Amino acid sequence: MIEIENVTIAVRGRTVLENCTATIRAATVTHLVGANGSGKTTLIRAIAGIQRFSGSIRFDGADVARVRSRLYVCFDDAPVFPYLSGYENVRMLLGKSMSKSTIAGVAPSLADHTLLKRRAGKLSHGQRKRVHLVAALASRADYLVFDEALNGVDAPTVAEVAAALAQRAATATVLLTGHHEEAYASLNARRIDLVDGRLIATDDVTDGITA
Amino acid sequence: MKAAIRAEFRLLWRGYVLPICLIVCALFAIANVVNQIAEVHSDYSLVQHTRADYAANGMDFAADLAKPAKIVIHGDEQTVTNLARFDYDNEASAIVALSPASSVTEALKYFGFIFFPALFFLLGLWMSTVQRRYHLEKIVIARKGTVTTVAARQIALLGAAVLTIATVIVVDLVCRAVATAVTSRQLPFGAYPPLSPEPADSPILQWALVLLVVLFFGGAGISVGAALGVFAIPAILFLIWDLVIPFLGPDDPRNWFVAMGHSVFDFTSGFQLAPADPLPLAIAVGGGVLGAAVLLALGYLCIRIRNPLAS
Repeated sequence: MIEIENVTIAVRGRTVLENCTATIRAATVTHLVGANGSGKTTLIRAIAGIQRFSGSIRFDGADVARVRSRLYVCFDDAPVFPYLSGYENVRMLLGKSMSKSTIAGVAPSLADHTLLKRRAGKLSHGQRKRVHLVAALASRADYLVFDEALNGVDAPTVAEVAAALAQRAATATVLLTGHHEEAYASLNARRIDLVDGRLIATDDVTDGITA
Repeated sequence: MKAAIRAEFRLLWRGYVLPICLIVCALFAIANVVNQIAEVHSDYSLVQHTRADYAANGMDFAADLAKPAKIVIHGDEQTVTNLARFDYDNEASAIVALSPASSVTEALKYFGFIFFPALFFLLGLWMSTVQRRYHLEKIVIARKGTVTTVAARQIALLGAAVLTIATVIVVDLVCRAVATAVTSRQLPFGAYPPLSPEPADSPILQWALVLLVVLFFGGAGISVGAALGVFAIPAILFLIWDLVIPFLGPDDPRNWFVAMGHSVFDFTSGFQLAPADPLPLAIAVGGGVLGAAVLLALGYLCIRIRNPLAS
């Protein structure tokens, strides 16, 4: 569970998020929805611990510094080191040694060997996104956060990622942003809207109360 | 931490930075030995020339060889009173310096003060900026935190330094072995045993000084990269400061290292290091050690300033 409490974020003097409060439930996929520029990425950066904010973000009661190894954040730009292969990028992103078979085993058709053995500099944005999705699934993190996770990913991969996430959601707290409504609906994702810098959970007003 | 260090090292290796460094250092090591061969030949010619002059003037070369040379320095001028012994000593020192037994000392003194400061500053700067250039740092820091990230970079830099120095010494050793074998067939090395006592070397102090150079300049590169986040401009400014601008006085950090260098290495043969602006050795050592500690710590501070929550 990720508890976001009275979080206010100002970027270059402009308030992007104001007094946001929400609970991202454990063993659930939560879909954060908002218009472009509404502050979804900024909130995700705060959850990742790389964005200054006021208020509190707790992971099952713990600060982000205590759960780093159990948190994986997948950013929209899907950065990779171009000189390393897909496999090596996965290892670098996770900061741990993993065999190719372990990496490929997390999502067999998503972790395509032909894709992952290529130098990442030669991969398209969608393919780099797949490398990050493989890393996220291979991380076995308790908290999985995806910013625009499925942007640039082809339809068969979207279906596969949705299936893999549904499996992971049984034991992890999963938060996603993006506009693939159908895919998220298939996950029974709980929806939280980000409107005018405030969070509104449509299914449970006590969770998403905004100040 | 082990995996983070391995990842940093993999970036250095697969980004071609470390292989290029090793190749460049190996080429410079070969060039250093080639220079030393030239010095042996030129010192030998000087001895023969002086011997011929002695004979032409009816002077006893062998008698002067038995007496130590006297060198008197007046300002910028150096006067030598016993040219026979002076030239002989130079040739004997050059032959000793060319031998494989001198490899470690000669390599460290050649690389330690000109190449290593620039090399390890640039390596540290590259390590500290490459992940940001490819937008990877936010992911790495989110998972590892700033302390592990910077510590992994510093340890990987030390690993790169060990590999670089080992490569330099191996190449230098092989070149000196070959050079000695070839040159000893051209010149009568056996006729020039050292007559003056060789200056006492302290390998521990020499290694400690090279380690300090790595920590000081590598730490500076990592800190500057963490603070500024870009490679090219700091790299150019550093190279101008290090290689073009003369010492800015005795308290210039470069002068600290040159002063320490003259106290632990003998620069009478082979590579000649510029003289240091006078300053007490204690200040040079204190400045170097304290500076290295501050620069290493600054890396953690700078990355935290840029990533305020990622402690």
